[in-house]
Amino acid sequence: MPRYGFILSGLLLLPLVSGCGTDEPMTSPPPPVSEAENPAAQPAPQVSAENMELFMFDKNPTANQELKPTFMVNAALGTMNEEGDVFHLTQPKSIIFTDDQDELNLTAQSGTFDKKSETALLDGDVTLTSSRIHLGMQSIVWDNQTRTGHSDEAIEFSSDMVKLKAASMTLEPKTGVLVLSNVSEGIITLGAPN
Amino acid sequence: MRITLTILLLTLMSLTVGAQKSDAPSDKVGFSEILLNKVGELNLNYKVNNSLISMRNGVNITIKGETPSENLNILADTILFRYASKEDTQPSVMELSGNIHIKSRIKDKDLIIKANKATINIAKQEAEFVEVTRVEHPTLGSPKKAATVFINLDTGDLLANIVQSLTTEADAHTAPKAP
Repeated sequence: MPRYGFILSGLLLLPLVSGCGTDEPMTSPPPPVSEAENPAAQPAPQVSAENMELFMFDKNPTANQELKPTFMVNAALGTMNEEGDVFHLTQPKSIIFTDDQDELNLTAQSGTFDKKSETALLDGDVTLTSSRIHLGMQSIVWDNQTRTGHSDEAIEFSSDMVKLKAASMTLEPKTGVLVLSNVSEGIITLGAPN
Repeated sequence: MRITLTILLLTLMSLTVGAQKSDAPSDKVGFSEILLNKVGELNLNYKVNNSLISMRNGVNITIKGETPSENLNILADTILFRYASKEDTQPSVMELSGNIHIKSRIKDKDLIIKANKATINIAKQEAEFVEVTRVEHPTLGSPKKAATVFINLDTGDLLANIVQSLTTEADAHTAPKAP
């Protein structure tokens, strides 16, 4: 039985916290596995946990800066693969953190958190909201290395001033730059409140 | 020689259409909304007040007037938005470039302008077109090629620095012949 098999019992009761992008895992190391408990021929059971929380961090924080999360996802149910680096998520709720505390909140029906590639896919009726904008789309991929979100699904964007539909979008939360491609319809309201 | 003189005269001539305000119908073109018909790429920054940055890769928009007949339909390669100050959420100026094609109605008559560059001042409701390859409006007679065309979108006044009179569509793409 692979070593993560042992995490199963603990994860069924406790939320799992994973330190992606760091050398310091935030999970406790699993206890030693005896031969009797680890028959090689037996297929590995999937590791699942309710209320699973996973994090991605800034790999290169500036000097004297404490390690801060850049992305967090909380899922009603999470299932880890055999290698322990990919998590399948049900009803994930995510937060993209930025230095200016203007967080982006995301919800979706399902998702995948890939610890190795530092990416997360949120899928199905995705909403992304901040204090100034709202986006609706079918799916979005968060790349923690480039700190960008990208979607090639039909996008609906709205803010105080702009409402539109686009074919794809790229979002850079750190700067606030949002590129919407192939806008098919929309409206910009002139005279919106300053 | 005669052609040269004609071109020179036309170049110097500034044509003012309807400088005086008529009583009815109203000539005022009030901007309320910009309809996005098709935009290749829209760049925004939601963290700053000057959030609307640019439209690129082919733009087809309609600036809505107070009535549908006052709508200003704009085709261009690129539109950049400028602001009077960093605090403003509303752009004050739109800078258009590349394959500009404008359709509107001025003084209750159809207006068509094709140009390479243009500036639309939303705040002042003025538009200036540069390198105009074709301007069409009944008050100008036949279509014209112009160095610049200025339109007061509030009053409907049009001022054109005409360089050539065009008779056919093909003329719009033909440079004036040397004598």
